[in-house]
Amino acid sequence: MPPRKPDTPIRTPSPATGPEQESRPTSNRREVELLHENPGQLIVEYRSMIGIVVWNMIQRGVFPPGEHKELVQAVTVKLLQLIPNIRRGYDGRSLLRTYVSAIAVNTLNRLARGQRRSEKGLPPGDPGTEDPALDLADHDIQVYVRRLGRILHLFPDYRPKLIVILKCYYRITLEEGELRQWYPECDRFSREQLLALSRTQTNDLAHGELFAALAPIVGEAEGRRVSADTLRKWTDHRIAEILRLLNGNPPRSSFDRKTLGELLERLSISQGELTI
Amino acid sequence: MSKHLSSGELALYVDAMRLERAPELPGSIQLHVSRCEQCKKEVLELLELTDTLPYNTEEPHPYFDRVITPPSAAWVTAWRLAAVLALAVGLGAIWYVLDPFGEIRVEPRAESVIEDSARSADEVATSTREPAVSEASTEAGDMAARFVESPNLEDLVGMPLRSGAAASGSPAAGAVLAAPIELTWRTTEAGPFRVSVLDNTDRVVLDTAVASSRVIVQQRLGPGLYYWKVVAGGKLQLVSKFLVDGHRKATGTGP
Repeated sequence: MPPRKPDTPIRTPSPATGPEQESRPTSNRREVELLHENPGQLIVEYRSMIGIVVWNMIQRGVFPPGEHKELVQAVTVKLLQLIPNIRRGYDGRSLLRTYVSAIAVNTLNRLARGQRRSEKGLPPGDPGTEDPALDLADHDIQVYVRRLGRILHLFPDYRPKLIVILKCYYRITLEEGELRQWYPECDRFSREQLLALSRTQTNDLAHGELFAALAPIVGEAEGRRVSADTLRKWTDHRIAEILRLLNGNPPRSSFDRKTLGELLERLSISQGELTI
Repeated sequence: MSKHLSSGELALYVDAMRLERAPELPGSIQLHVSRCEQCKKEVLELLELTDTLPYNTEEPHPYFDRVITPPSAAWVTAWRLAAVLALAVGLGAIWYVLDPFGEIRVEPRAESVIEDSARSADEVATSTREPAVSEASTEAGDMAARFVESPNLEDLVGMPLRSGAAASGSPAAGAVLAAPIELTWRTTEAGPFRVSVLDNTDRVVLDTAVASSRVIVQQRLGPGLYYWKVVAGGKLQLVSKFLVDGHRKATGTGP
């Protein structure tokens, strides 16, 4: 199944069509002070930030372009109503503007769900579905390469392992640094074996054989017995999860196992080692 | 699956990815995101929707650039003092409990039925139970009472008597003796003599008549203060006293 592109091309807002460009952010400390002393002023200052978030959602096709002003107004009003919750909920660890933008995104998602239901007449609680016809060939693939790079950062607990396994799975040449990050004590034999596996052609080595070769090394690295079948299932689950995140919900693209490999290869070329 | 990320944690994760400092996130957040597809989706969405917002990476971040100040010298000193104090209290408690130089307290032993039944009647009769502390103190009190001077007799010891008798006795008043006790006296009166030995409560423990001026008390007297008097011809000739020490084995008449 060929990848599809979004209905509306993703682009950064231009000064002519998009919201006003935001000025340089003020210090977080000052914004926190405003939250407690003059929250109305804070929300006014955040209005341009809200405009950018709304614009980005319009670019994704979540809202029609003509609703920008109304949406910004609706989110602004909602944020003003939520000031006491923001004061209570903000724990001071993140930047306040990131925290407020998270709340703005939640508000917009709720509005979008409500709109979809009313448009399609779906009963409450039934998620709307979209089936955009996308064509990756017409789309800037770098957006998805970047997205894949970010998605890989969402597996912090086993990101180095995931990169090694995926590269072997897609036969993308492993870098020494990637291997070291996953398994620093890897002996020379296993290291050479892994590097060789990542360089073989798919035709030369079936997936079953690949996992049979990988399993003992993974078991050695993790200090437990790992079967080829277990490793295969683990990899299948991770690939399926990455594809869901990459394509989005509702889907904005239709990458599959094969095209994911192509994206990963491009990511490797652009970034070199996929280490942290 | 534990509770999903809060808005604050979500925002922190997004900040971390913008600053490329995701490995510095709290372990619990990293662990949760690794395992939760929903939170991955939300982080990714927020990151992408705020992608075009200006981000001042030079500004110190409230979490990633937080200054962890070491405790001040005063606090360190206070903590050390508290630690030393706690240690001293702990050692003191151990010392008190173990009581290495104290007396060995012997608790009254509860004799078991088996032991009792195994003992012969004679053994039970002769066995001496280790006294309890309260019994020991009572005995000590009793012992002291036995050495209290008699208000009736004390004034007569060594005093000139109304009878006008001139007598002297041996042992000297207040001598410490042990059985057999020999009492001798010299007086102008001729015998027979009546000799009485009384304890400090004026109780007569020996009363005898002798022709000579000498009596040997064979009776084993308990520790205490004793008075003795000699009467001849119906007149009191002499009043004296001696002590019997239970721990002392003396012979003779004393000094």
